[in-house]
Amino acid sequence: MRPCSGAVHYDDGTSVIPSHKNLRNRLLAALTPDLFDALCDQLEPVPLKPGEVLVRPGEPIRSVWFVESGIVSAIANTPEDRRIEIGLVGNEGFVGVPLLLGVDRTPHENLVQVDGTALRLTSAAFDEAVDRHAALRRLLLRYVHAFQIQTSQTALCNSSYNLEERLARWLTMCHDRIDGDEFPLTHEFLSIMLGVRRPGVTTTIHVLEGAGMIKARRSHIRIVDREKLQAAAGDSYGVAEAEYARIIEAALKDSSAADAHTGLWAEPDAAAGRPHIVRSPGDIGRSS
Amino acid sequence: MPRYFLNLRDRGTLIEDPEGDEAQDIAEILRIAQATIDDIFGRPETYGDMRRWNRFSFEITDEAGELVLTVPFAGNGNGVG
Repeated sequence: MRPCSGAVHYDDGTSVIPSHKNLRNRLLAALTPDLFDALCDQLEPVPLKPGEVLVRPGEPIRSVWFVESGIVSAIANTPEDRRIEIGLVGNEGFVGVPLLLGVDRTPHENLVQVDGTALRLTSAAFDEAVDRHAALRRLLLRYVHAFQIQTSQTALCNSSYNLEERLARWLTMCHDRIDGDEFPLTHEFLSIMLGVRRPGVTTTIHVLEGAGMIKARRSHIRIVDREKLQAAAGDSYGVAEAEYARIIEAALKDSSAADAHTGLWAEPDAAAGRPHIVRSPGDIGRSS
Repeated sequence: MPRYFLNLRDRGTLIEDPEGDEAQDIAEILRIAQATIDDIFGRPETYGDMRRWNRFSFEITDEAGELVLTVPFAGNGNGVG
């Protein structure tokens, strides 16, 4: 198995040459080793810096980013500069979905919210890869479905749930996507993302903190009681996460159990006779 | 531009604003506070229990931590309070 061309440097000072074994991106990890190998040379490890704009509204999308760590926001804007966050992308997904759908630009924006790393593929290499490998295209299209459910749930939450539930959902979703329990966050950023005034965020954080769910300090939030926080989010959290688990992770397990020779995300020819690599289920939907 | 902090007073509790807003002067920060109160009273489905908000006031401080203005929510929204 060939390693990728460059090393990825992680926050904790370690650096690794990405290979199928140490992938953090759950979509790439769901590919068979052969299929990952076919992509590997084209994947460029890149840092994701807070505030970095990966996709600008109306401008050509030049790459896709398979997120290894960190969080990227998907944001809808108006010409008068009203903005609201519609979705989050972490290591369960990739940024640059329009390219998969044959569209080279979008009115939406992708902004790095929590720093991390990604494996980047140029749009040309990505087009070629999804044309050549039907298994890759099928897997990524399933992710598009899951992401669409996530953004739809955000719309539902924005209209039907109060700020406390929405903020609890948002923090829970971030917790799903970070290593550990703490991440940087300002009330100002969160107020823009949730489409509310900052004092609304400040008081709601105070309420969640008072209930022992989180601890806020110096532009950071620490999740103290995940179970309680998820309960505070109520039904606003869970539908999108269950859908991801059902169509990506559970489907992967089923396919490997049912038929190792035609693994869902393997090339039909390449998979013949090889066992399917199944990564342990990720953190999304964890409840304790 | 000076920075002002929109701390929230809820009876005996003061919820501190850790970030603040930039504003030209006290008149501008008052406009920001009133616009915030309008938004909160205008969207009860988002901001939740209005009885709670109705007993809040902004205790606006400057960068030195001095109290410069108190703005009760009640009576400062559009037609509410």
